[in-house]
Amino acid sequence: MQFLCLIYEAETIMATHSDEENGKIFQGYMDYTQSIKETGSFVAGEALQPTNTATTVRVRDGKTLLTDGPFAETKEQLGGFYLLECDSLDEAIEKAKGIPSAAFGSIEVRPLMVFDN
Amino acid sequence: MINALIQTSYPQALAKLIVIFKEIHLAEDYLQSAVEQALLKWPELQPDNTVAWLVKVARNKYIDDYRKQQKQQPFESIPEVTILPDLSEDALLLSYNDDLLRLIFTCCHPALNQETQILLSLKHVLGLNLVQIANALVSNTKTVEKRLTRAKTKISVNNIKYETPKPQQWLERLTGVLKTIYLLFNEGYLTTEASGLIDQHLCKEAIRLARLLHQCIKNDPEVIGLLALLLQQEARIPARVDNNGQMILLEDQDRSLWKKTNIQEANILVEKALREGKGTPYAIQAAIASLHNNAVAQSSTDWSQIYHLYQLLGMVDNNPIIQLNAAVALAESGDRLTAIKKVKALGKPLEKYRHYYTALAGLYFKDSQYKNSLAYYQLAFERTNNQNERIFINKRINECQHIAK
Repeated sequence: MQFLCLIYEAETIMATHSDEENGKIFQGYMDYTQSIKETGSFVAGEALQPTNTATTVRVRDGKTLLTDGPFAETKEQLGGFYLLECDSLDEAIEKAKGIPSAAFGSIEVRPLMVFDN
Repeated sequence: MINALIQTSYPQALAKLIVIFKEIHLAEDYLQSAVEQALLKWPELQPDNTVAWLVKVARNKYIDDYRKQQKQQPFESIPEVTILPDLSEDALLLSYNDDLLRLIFTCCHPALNQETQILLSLKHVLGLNLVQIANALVSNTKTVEKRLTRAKTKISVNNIKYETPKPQQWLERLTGVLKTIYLLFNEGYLTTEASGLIDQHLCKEAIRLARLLHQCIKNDPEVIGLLALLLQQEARIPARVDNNGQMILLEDQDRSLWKKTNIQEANILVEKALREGKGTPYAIQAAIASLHNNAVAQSSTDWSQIYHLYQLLGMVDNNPIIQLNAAVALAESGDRLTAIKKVKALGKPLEKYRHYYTALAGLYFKDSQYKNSLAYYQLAFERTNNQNERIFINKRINECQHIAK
């Protein structure tokens, strides 16, 4: 089964990091991605541009409403994700613990819905 | 008769089936169909080992269903559940006793919130009913049912397995396990079931589990503290009920009936718990119980020490019920008027807590303020369904009215 690991972190704090600190985190992500690829559980994973680049789209009564910015103002923002193939939540939690942002942000782990057909 | 037999066998059979199937809803579904069979067959021929019978029937039904679904598959692909464990009475009882603690640890999965962990343990491992659980969690059956459904969904969509956690995962689950055992004991100590005041069976089971836990995790102050607390509480059981089944308050109990062996064992544990940890909640509560149990009479109880311990407890776990207990101890140590002031200040947070009214009424009663006492006993009376409490409160109401005249 597949679990989506949503990576949340405070962008404002990330922006204050030095190049060296950011380099370390980036390297951490490279290493982590490599390691889960080796275990065979990596399905997909991407990083996102910060929320100041976001646009929120709504369609109401056939009319399109656009908002410049993210859907919700929150303390931590969605910064990226991994889609992992795992046997159970326990395994997914084990893997999520290794995501570098887990040490300073939060990882929300959600199982994918499976439709019978 | 048959119903009672099924009821007593159910938790053991369920525990065994969860271990076999590793999935709670499968275990429940197949046990249910075994129960239906039992209702049909047991009136004619009652098996010697009812638990084994239920487990066998449930598991056979599972294999039947499995084969029906997988007709095209060769025999050897049937999962290992077909291997039936030793179901002799001895083996079953032995493994059940072991399984139980393990299953509680299994239910206390850290991905579930603590209340849900406890709820699952009380329901599925220890076999309490929804009313008992709602009472233990200061909730109502509707909310409990909703939580249970949500938990089952979360467990099933996340494929959380009913697998025994490794010893290194035990500590992160310990808080939920301790609370489960504590609440199991509480349910036994003042049962919500109509049949009486105390369910000794539940109290004994809780103590057995606390002991087993203490054997597994040796030097944890909370584990030691909980065992000590339960032993001190259980020591008073022989003195808590009169010949008519009525509750006797601590101050009126015949202390010579208290179980001395319990008290002696717990005293040693309390000392150890306080030495190991710097004032953890169960250890402090055990110390308070020890002070009560080692006093020859209510009047010679070290109330000021108890008051200090409650204040200490309030620092680690600041809830209004603890503040209420602290105030009652303060009153007993002499300062009744300050105590009444303190209790009155808790009126808002404890609005729905029925013992708040009994406690305040009791303080007024001791202070000879019978009019005030009467008013709060009347409020207390409206808030309880427990027959035992009602009789006690009614007696006090009559006394107040009599003296006030």
